[in-house]
Amino acid sequence: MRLDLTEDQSFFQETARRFLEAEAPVGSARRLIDDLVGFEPGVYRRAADLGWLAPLAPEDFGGGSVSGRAVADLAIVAEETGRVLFPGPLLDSNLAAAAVAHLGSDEQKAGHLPDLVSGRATAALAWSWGDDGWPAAGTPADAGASADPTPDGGWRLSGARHLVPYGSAVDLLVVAATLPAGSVGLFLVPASSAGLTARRIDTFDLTRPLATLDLAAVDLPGTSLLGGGREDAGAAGLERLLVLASVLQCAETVGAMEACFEMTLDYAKSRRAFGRPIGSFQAIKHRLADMLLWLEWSKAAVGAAVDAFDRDGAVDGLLGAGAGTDAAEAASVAKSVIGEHGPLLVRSAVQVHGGIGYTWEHDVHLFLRRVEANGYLYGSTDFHRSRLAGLVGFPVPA
Amino acid sequence: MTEGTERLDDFRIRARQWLIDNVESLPRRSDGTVIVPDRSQPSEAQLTEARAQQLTLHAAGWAGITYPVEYGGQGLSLDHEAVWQEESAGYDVPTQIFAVSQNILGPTIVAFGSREQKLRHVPRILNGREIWLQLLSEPSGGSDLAGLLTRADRDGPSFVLNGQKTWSTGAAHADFALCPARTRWDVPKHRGITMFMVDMHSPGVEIRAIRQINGGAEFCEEFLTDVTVPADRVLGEENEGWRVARGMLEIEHAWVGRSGGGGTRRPTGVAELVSLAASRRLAGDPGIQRRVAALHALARAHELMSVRVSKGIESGGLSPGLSGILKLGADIVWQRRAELGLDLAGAAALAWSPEDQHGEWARDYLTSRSASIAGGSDEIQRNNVGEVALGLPREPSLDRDVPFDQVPHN
Repeated sequence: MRLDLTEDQSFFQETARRFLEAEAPVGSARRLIDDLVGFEPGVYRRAADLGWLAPLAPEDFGGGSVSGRAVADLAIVAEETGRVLFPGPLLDSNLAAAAVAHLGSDEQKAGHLPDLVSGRATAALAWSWGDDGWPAAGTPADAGASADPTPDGGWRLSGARHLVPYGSAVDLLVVAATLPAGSVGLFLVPASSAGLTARRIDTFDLTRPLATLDLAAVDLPGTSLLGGGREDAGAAGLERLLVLASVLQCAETVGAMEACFEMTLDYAKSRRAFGRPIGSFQAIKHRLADMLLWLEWSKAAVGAAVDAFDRDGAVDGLLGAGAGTDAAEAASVAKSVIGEHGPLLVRSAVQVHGGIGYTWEHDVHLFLRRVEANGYLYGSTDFHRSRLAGLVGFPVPA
Repeated sequence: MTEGTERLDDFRIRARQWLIDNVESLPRRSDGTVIVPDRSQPSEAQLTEARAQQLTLHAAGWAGITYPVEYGGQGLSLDHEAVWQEESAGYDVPTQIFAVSQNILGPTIVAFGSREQKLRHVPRILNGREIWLQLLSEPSGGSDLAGLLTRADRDGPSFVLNGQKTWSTGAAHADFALCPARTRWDVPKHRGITMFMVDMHSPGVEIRAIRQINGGAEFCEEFLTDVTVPADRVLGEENEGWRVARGMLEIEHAWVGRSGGGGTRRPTGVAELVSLAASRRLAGDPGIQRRVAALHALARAHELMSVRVSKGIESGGLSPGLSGILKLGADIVWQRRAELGLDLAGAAALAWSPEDQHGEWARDYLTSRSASIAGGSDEIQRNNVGEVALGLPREPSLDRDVPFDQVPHN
C-alpha cells in the first residue's frame, strides 16, 4: 500500500494497475519471450494514451505530468510495470524523450517528441556499458563508437554499442559516440539508417530483449547531434540520464519484488505440508518477515530517490552543472539497498516455492531474472557503493 | 499538516537557538565526531543533575513533543520529534536516562490509562520527576511473555504481588514500573493477566544488578515479596493486561525502529566509521569503502522506512504488526554496524588504553548483541510480523486454550 501518494497520483496508479491487469498480465511477457519485436505495439500505444510517455516532455510537444512531479509519475508507472514485467521499451523511450527534451533543438523536439509521447515511435539509449554498468571512468565515455565529421557538415558513426534494450525493435536510437575532440556526442539515429544493423542476443533476463548495434559507417546529417554543439553537453547529459534511469529502474525492481513477495505469501498460505500451511512453520514465516523488511527498506529508498530528483529539479537541470547531487546520492543509496535486498528477496521467493519454483512454467524465475539483472545495469551495486563512499567522506581515487 | 501546528523549519530554528542559548555542547574528537557520555548507570549526582535538566527542558517546551498538550506534552508530530533529535544531537541533554520512561511507558499510559492516571503520572514522566521501567521477563521465560508466573492476589482494596522479574534495564534508579502479573490461573494464559503500576520504592521490592557481557550492569533482577499495589493502579481492565502488554510492545518496537534502539546515541555513525577506517589506514581500500557505504545506505533506508511505517501505523493505514519490522530492521542495522566497526578496528579493539576510541567499538560490538534479544527477540518479531501483519497461521501450541493451572511450565 502506498501512503504517500496524492489523489491524482493514486488515480494514476490505479488506472495503471487496471490497465496492466487487463492488457498485460505476466503471461503476455512470457508469451513474447521468443517474439522478434518483444512487445505488442498496440498495447504500447494504449499505454502511451495513459500518459506514460508524457512526463519528461514539454507540454508544447504533447508532454506533461499528472502531478507536476515528472519523476514521481514515472516511478509509479515503473513500479506497476515491474509488477507484471511489462514488455516494451517504456523506460528506454522515456529516457530518449528526456534526452531530446532537454538537449535537443526546437527542430529536434518537434521532429521526435510528439511521436515518442504518443507511442507511435519508440526509442532507446545506446551507450557504452562499462564493466560496472556505467561509463568507464578515465577512458572516453564512449570507447567503442566514434563520430567523425563529413565534408557536407554531417557525421559518420562507426563502431558498436552493446546491451541496447529493445535495440532491434525501436524506431530511434540515441547513440553515444566519441567526438574528434574526445568528448561525448549523443546522436539521434533512425533505426532504418544505412549501415546500422541490430542483432538480438541471448539474454539472462528473458522478458527484456537486448541487442548489439553495429555501426558500419552510418552517415547522419549535422542536425542529428544533440546538445546544440556544446562539447560538454553529451557527457553531462548522459550522466544525468543514467542517474534518472537508475532511479526508475529501482522503482521497477521494487514492483517486481512486491509481486514476488505477494506470490510467495499466497503460496505459503495455501500450500500444505505435514497437515498444515507451510507458512505456519517458523522456517517459512521468518523468511517472509525478512522479505517484507527487505521490501519496505527498498520502497523507502526508492521513494527518497524519487523525491530528491523532483526536489532537486534534476530533470529540468539536465544540462546545468552542479544540479542533481542530492538526486545522485539518493539514487546510489537506492541502488545499494535494492541491489542487495532485491536479489535476496527473489531468491527466497524461489526457495519457498520449492520444486515448482524451479520450473520454467512458473513465473517466479522471470522475476528472479529481472531483479538480478537490474543489479548490474545503470551502475552495478558495487559501482554505486563506491560512488557513495566518496560522498560520505572517503578519499576518492584519483 | 493541521492548522496552527508550527512549521518544521520554524520549529527547527527555534530549537537550534534555544539549544545554543541554554545547553552545553558535548565534547568532540579531533575528527569532529561527538563524544557521548555513557549514562547507562548514572550516579546519584548524575541522576539529580539529569532530573534538573529535564525539568528545564519541560518548562521550555522541549519535552514530550508528541504527547497530548493536556498531559504536559507539546501536541506535535513525529517529524517535529525527529527534528528535535537531530538538533539536540550534539548537546548535553539527558536523553538516555529518560528514554524508556518517555518513549515506551509514557505512551502506554497515554494509550491505556484512565484520565486520572494520566494526569497523575504523565506530566511527571515528562518533567523528569518519575522514571519508569518495564518488568516483563521472568526467570522462567522471556519470549513466552504470557506464560508469566508472578502472581497478584486480591486483598481488599489492594492486590498483593509475589514473584520474580529479570532482564529489566535501569531498575536501580526507577520510581515506577509497569508490571504484568497473573490474577487468574483457571483460564488460558492470555486471559488471566493484569497490568499493574508498581511503586518501585514499595516495601517488598528488592533489586539486584546483573552484570552483562559488555561489563555494564544496568540489567537488573527484581524480587517481589508481598508487594501491595492499590487497585486504582491497575492499568486497563483487570485480566485484560495482555492487551496492554501487546500495545506497549508495539509502542516499544516502533520507537526502537525509529531511534535505532535506546535513544542512547551510540557514537558509531558513518562519520565515525570513516574516521575509524582512516585511523587503521584502511580508508583507501575500495572493498572497505563499499562496505561502509552499503551500511550507510542501509541505515538511511531504515530511517526513511521507519518514519514511513510509523506514520502508517499511527494513521491506521498499516497493521500494527508491522512495528515488528521496525525493530527487526533497527537490530540488523545496529549489529551490522557494530560488526563492521569491530572488523575495521581489528587488533586495536582487542586491547586499548582508556583514552583510545577503539575500545568503544569493542564495547559497542558487545552491547549490540543485546539488540536482537532485548525488547522481544528477533525471532518473536518475525513471528509477530508473520502472524499479525501477514496473516500467516500460528504454529500449533500446546498451551493456548488450556487453563493456565493445567499447563506444565518451568
